[in-house]
Amino acid sequence: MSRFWKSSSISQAILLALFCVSIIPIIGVSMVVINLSNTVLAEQMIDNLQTLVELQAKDVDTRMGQAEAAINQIAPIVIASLDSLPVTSENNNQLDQIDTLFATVLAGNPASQAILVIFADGTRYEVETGGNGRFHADTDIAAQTTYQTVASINSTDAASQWLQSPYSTANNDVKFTLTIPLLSPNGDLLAVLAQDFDLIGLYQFNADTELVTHAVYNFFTSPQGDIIPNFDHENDETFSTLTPLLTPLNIAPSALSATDTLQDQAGNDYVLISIPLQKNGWSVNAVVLADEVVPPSSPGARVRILLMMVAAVVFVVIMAALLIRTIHYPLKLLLTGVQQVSEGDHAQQVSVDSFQELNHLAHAFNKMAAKVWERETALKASVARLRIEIDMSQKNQQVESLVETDFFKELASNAARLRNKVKRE
Amino acid sequence: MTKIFSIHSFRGGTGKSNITANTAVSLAKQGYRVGVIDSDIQSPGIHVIFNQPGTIITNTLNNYLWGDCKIEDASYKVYTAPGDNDGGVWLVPSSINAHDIARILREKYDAEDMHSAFRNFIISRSLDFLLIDTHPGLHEETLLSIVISDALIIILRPDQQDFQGTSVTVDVARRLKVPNIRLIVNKIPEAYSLEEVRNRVEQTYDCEVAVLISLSTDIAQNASSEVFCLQHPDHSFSVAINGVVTNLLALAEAQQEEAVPFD
Repeated sequence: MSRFWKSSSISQAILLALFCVSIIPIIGVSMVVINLSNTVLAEQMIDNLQTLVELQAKDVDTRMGQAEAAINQIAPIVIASLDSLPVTSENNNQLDQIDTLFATVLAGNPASQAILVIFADGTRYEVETGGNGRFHADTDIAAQTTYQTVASINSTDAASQWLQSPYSTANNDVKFTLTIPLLSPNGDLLAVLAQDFDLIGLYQFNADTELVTHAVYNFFTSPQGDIIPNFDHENDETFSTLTPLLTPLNIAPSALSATDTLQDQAGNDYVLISIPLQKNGWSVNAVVLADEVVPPSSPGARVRILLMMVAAVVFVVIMAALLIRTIHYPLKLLLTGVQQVSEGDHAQQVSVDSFQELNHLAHAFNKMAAKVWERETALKASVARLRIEIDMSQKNQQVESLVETDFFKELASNAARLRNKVKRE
Repeated sequence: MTKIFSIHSFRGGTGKSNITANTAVSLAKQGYRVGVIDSDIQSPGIHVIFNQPGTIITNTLNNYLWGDCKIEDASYKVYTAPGDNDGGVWLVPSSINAHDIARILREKYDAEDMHSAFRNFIISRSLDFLLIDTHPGLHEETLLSIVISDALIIILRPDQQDFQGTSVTVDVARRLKVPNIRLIVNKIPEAYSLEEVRNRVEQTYDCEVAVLISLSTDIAQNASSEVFCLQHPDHSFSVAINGVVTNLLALAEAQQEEAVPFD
């Protein structure tokens, strides 16, 4: 390994430690955030859907109220006009009077398309927008697409059916018919007024709920479980699979609460939102595939996760770079200095701008290195100062004091002999 | 023929006894029979370095000089060389008893007796080498050892007092016509260049420097408690002692070639 990697071991360890410490919790947090965001997203979608269905139910109730008010407004006029019965097609004066009055009412009630007067004998007289009245035979009425067939009317029936049920037309328009019996002062049924109103489907989804638009199926259900699909749903075949969901349950859809979950025979989960109408016990419903409410991974969530992970990696890299710069680099400088001192070289002054402890260490090292160099230099210089100074006069004096003794003289003269004598075996 | 080396220093504390003991053991390791005689009767100490716990010293050089015993009775084998050779060190110690020291200084002894001690020691132990550990300073006793030596080994430190004293010793030794004089500079501080020291000393005394020994804290810590080179054969001090041995052997060989005639 190169010296770089050996000296970088602390940095490598710090980098690894930071990476492991940072990434794992970030991934964990990301997953939690994803789950939370998905849950929040799902709840928000369901809330939005419920709000929309509630708005539609309220709108239907409002329209029913408006229709009811309109018919109530007409009823006395019609009754007042029916002072002679039966009204026949030949009785033009009476019909003209009804036409004029109805035209006035219709003009003030733009939601109305026509008013049907059903006389007790079964004669039907329809007054369309514009005030043109005409008589219809039963078969003609049955063939009309604008009216739900009004069942046979008698006084009791008429009284109980004065708010009719919504129905689908051949071109998938949904309408409902309001009927109101017109009774004589004696309580005899004179006629029934009937008026159709269009039902508008769910409001346009805003951008936030656009995801669930495709899978929402909107329909009306009667208190008995009769289902009338609303317009504007995309897939009729899919919708037809929903019908069996409700009827086998034998539960009146109006009894279902918002956000009930249903499962079809294939195991697909649906989220059902059902809002009862105030007026007649029918319900406005919306159902959506559960999978489409909680998208597995919305593009927005994926982008968020990716950004978080990139941010985490960038953070770790920046932290490691800072640590390398503030710890590893100063230590490397100090190590170089120590090596120079150990080899007897003049160590470079170490300049460090890092943590306090490292700054103090560098300062202390510089002082130490300077002193060591000073001492080394002085010691080396002292070699040249080794001087041997012999005081010759003193030496001579000492020598003379020895050699002038009798002992020495005798010893010197016998030196050779003594030397040999000692070694002689 | 046995070679006699006197190990001397003008002042005490130069490491003389330490160098003598280590040199003796190093010679013995090469198979030589080496005798060491502690002629420093006034302040004996070399026996401490040889450190023989089981040996009881009953007779010393003092006893021999008083005629109480034979020299071989006052000599003790303090080292046996390993292996199949005859090498060993025999020591004739001086008495450390204060009474004995006082007596010998007071009564003195005959030069002939000291020389006979050397001779009989050589003969009785069949010595190849005799190392005489002398008392520091130039006294009559010292001169008696120097005069009969084949070589005078002077130990000095790089110290002005040692320089001065060594100059006297060298001069005196030359006047006694000692065949060879060798200098050992011991305890040289690390700051000094050894070559520089050798050159200056040889130039000053016109005398060969046998070996230069650096100042060592290990030797100081050893504190004369044992023969250092036995325990630390690779230490720089032990290497220097080997240098002393090499020098002495070369000297002995050179002398062998020019045989000194007997009287």
